[in-house]
Amino acid sequence: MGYGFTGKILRVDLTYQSTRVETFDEAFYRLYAGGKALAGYFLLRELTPHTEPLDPENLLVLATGLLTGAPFSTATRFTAAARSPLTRAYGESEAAGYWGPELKMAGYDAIVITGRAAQPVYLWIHDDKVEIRDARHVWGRDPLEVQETIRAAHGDKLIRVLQIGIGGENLVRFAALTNELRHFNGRNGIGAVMGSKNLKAIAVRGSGRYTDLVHAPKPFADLGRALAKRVKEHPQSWDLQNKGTPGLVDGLNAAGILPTRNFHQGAFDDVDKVRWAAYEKELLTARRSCYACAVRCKREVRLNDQVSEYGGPEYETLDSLGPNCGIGDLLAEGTRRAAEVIGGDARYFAMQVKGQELPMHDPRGKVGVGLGYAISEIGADHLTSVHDPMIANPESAGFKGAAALGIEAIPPRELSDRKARNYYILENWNSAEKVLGLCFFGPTPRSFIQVDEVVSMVRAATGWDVTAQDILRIGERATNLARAFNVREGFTRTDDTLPERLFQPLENGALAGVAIPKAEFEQTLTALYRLKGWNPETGAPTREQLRELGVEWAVE
Amino acid sequence: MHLHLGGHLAWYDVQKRARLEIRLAEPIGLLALVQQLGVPPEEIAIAAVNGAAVALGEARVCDDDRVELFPPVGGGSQVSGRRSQVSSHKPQVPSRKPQIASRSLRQAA
Repeated sequence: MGYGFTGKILRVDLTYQSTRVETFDEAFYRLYAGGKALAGYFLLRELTPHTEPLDPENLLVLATGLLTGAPFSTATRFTAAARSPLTRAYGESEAAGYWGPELKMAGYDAIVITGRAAQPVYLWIHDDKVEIRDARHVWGRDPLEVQETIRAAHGDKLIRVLQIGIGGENLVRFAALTNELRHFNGRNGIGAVMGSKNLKAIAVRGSGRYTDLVHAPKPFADLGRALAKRVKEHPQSWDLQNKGTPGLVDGLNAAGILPTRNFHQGAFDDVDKVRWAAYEKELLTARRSCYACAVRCKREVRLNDQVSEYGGPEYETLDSLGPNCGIGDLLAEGTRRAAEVIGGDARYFAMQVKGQELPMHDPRGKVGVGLGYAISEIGADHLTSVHDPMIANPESAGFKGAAALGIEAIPPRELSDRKARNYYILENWNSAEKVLGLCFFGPTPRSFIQVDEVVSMVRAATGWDVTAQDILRIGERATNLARAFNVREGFTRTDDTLPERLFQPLENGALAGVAIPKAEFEQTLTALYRLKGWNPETGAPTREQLRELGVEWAVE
Repeated sequence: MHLHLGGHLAWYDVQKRARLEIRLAEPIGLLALVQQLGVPPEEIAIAAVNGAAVALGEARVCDDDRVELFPPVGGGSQVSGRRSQVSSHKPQVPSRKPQIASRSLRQAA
């Protein structure tokens, strides 16, 4: 019997080529249950303030969620975190796939890496065996070759390989990590941090079982079976299985918020070329999955008449390289730095917040997404809270599902105190998903897992007598740790802004002429700081707020 | 009439079709059509007829129309005041309950 976590953190120092295991007790995990919370804890506790992101001293944290590896749908994610070379703020990116569950099966909740190897290396973890191995022969190689070479070296095709690509080796500031070639920690440039450590890959094989870790295996297994059955019976998870994220193109285009021509426009003339019908006809070969997940939202595609080993493009890729594409080394620095070098009015063309580029969601049609872009600790990100339209209609399945969290049904473009409140509650909910290791495509309002079921999962895994409010607190605490990190690095409310273009009207589509009203946006942001217990002048969490969350030590 | 059930709305069609060809003997209110199809109106965030956004409860559609419906996933912020340019057909009050001719909605290929 256990608590859903292993209690073990693997520590790696690449400079000294040393590894060791550190153990933590249950009280620790009640505050920092996994994922984002563990990342915030280690980055705040152990990283010296103002460490340069690409210096050896930066910490790279790879942390599974509390439920990562559980044998039910969408419990697959892990957090990759470091001080970001792109934003110089708290850096974080989640990915699903198979690597996170495998790390848990190998007996670790997280890996914390510091230092820099003298030459390229990879980490090989097989349960208790941990080795730092030479990777010079795979440095500069294609990811498929890297994966196959590492698997062949250890004679096991089920080894899960997390790796950086050539972008990470060359310190591209937004470089990603990938596992199984198809699942990406794609934001904040964590791949460049791994590259700066000369760490090419982390290969893992574990022989454990998640169900051996949980407090109440029987209720846990029952819940897993019920959820697997529901995937096909629930409209939203059914749709994700059918189309995956490429299915978003049509609806966003019709709504007038498909980012087009660098966010000047909201509808794309040539949308037929990038919509799902074309994808299905021209590219699709199969629907694929992450570990134990029945949603199966990943696409497999053909390229030059051959099935690609790299998986198919997601919605974000389709839009950013299709409708939104309008323009070497300069862009490898990110658009903010590129604009600074170009000078003049170039900064108005860089669609970024805190140095991180906007995802392909236009907040002029869903202003809560804009609040998230502005306030997020990692720069513009669309997974900080729930997108307004999903909870706008009080009769919709999405709203009814999330109503138990205490939200209201509010029009997508309304800016108000109650909009701030919705954002706050659902930010805590999404943040909790990042601590628990649940995918955004699992829980309500986006998909099929209900609020009481998330509570039941945590109860069955840990034996803790938690409520929905406790789950929200788990998320809120993790967000506050990340915010405290940014305060320490000198970030203030003045960094919580949107690109000027979003305050200008859209040129075409269903929302032609619509802009975000700046004064109302700022007022709503102020209301949001107050709800969060953050100083509305500075944007910093107050001591009282951090004390209430049990992390008063995080005050600067 | 060509009907596109975007996103998860196709789930409500018995055959789970995203695109349906429907024969309409006469114009029908879009809301009534949607209800006959078994698509819950509360799951529809965007309705467009021939490329123009419409209000679900006000629009009427006829056999020549191209109708698109989308749920509130990711998108769905309809603009009020853009509801007039629905279709070229004049609104008519049907004399009897609208009939959906030829192949039934739930059987068409």
